[in-house]
Amino acid sequence: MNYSQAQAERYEQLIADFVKNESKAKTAAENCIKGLKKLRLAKSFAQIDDEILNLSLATEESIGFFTQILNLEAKRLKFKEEALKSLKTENKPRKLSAA
Amino acid sequence: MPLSLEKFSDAFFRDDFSTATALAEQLEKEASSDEEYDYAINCAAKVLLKQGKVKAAQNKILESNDNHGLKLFLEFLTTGKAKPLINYKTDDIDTLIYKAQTILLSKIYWGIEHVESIDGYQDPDLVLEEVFARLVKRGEVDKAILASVQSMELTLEDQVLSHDIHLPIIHEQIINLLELSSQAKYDSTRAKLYLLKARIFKDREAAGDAEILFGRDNNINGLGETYMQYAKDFNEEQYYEKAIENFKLAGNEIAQGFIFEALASNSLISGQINEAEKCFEHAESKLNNGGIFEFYGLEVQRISMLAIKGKYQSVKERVHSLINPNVPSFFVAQAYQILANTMIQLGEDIDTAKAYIETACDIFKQLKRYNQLLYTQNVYFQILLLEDDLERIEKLGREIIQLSTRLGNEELKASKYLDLAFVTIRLSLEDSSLNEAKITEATDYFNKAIQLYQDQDNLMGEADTYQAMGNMFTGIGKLEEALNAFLQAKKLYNECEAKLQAAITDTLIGILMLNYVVLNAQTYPIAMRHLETALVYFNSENLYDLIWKTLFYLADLNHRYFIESSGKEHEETIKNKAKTYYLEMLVAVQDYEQDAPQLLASSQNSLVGITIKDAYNKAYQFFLTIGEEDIARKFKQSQN
Repeated sequence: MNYSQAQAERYEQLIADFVKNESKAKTAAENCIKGLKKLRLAKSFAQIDDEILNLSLATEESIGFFTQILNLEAKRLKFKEEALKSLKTENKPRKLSAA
Repeated sequence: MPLSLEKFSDAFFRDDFSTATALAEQLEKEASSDEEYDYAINCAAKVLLKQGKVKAAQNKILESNDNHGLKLFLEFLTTGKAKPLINYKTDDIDTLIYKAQTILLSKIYWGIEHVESIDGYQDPDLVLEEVFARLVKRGEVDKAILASVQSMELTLEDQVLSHDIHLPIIHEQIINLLELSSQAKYDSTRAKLYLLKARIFKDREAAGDAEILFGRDNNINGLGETYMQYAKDFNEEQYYEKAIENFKLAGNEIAQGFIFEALASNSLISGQINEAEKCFEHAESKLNNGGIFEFYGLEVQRISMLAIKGKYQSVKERVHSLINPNVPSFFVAQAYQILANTMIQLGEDIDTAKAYIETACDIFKQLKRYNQLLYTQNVYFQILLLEDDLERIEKLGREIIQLSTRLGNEELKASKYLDLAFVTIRLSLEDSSLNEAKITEATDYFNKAIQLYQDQDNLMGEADTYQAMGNMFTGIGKLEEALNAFLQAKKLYNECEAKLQAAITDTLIGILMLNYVVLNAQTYPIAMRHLETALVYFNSENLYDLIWKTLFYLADLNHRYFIESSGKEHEETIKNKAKTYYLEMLVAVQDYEQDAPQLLASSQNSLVGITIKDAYNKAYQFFLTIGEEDIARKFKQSQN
């Protein structure tokens, strides 16, 4: 592949970032395992979305129906907030390059 | 690690398939024990699998006495049988990865109930989590990262309702994996992470980084993947050609097949049916070497292509032979959907068509394929519109709105405004309450849809709305408004080079003039011009169903104008035109029927458009009127 000047510079940057990250590799591996657990949890929690959908598709409009939906929505929101909060505290997103 | 093994690994992770294959052959020749021989076969089969040559990989692996994990995985990929691998007890890392992928794929294509019925209770994500930890511990970082990439790719197919929860976690995970990739041996591994990031987050810069990293590794296949992504996800279609070149050089059959599929689909959208067919044939030749998913994916597309070309009898035969218990439910649902559409086109039993489409909806719901469900529910909605069950129409309409809102599908929301417009008019017609207020209400819905499409710069959606508006105005006798709407639709279709849709709009204009407007020296040429324009296009794309119908409309137009022109100077010319078009229609119907011998009988009660029987009756009447009984008889004979 023939690189343009910009691509060659970008490659240097990428490599510099990878070298910089080498010291963080151990923590990154631990975080990846935590991330996999979190993804697994999110998947199991996603069943709530199916439940909400099926309820709203199958149920006629009634107070009971809305209560069920609201409860599930509240549960979902709480999970989402917690998942995002823990992401922010455990793993602050880092910029890989200055570009 | 022995030198040749290390070299194999280098070639394998950098997608250098020809070197990897040569090294695997060398390993096979030099093998001095059964273990070494089995390992060499394993290497060769894995390269073939990566190239998408699933059947060849299966044949290769059968040469060894070991490698049960890969053997069972390839059996799954070629036959869909997941149980033997799921029940296979092992601690081998590769086999555990295959097992996790098998469970994930089975859930996506057959559904959770099927997976549980074959004892697939193991959580594939938990398996991958354990495998990842073991691989990192062993220092096999490249392999750990690639297993994660594959698992995230499969997650994206699933759980679409919860992407707002998944995406931030996936984003963080990719950042972590990129940090971990500082320990990876190959730039190609890092590039694959960037490519995934680009795909999920529509991040063009990340794709550019992938290109740089693949380039550094001389990874021709990886560069092909990047170019394919530029073309598909970032609409830089000029890259398709470059991607094909790269995949050809790399010997990646499956990826070439996917590109030709994408090109076929693009050609279909722009109405270039012949071009689509050519691309599809290329796709077929490449994907035929794949496994069960490629096979049935191709078959469904083949059937869709036949349906587009109006070869409905072939569609029915192929759908019926596709539906059997071994076929993944996902493809069965697609086949049911096409079958229901075909039955409607042929005017067959509408209740049976509804049963098929309901089954398709049930399957997609069970598989949690919500985007497909939404599309199928829409088809169902259109079928319901043919009948008078307004309660069901409204109920399904509400379901579609709920689902599209959950999926954030703005385009569909706009299309629902279209449907609301139709339902408003229909309800009013049913209880005879159609008045100006109702027409204004419906027009407002159309305008809302148009506004939404304009906000999204969706010219096709806007054009479709104008066309639907034209149909509605035609139905309630607002002819000037109908004509304006059709003309606007045609202008927009032309702007986005949607030739098929533009030609259909031309036909609709012709039909409007033919059925609702007094034919005279001003109106007749307008109708002729639009119908003839449509016919030129239908002929160029060999769309037999549309060809005979348009010829009929042209004949009918001239037939009627001939009656209006009695005693006038141009009477003879118009009579000859009607005669020519009716005779051309006879030939066109014969061409059409060559594909579908039972069509004449089955299309007698067509709900949509004209039937062949009606067309022949009109031709018969015309030739009797002009005293050409011999020719008239041809139309009678053709009906028997």
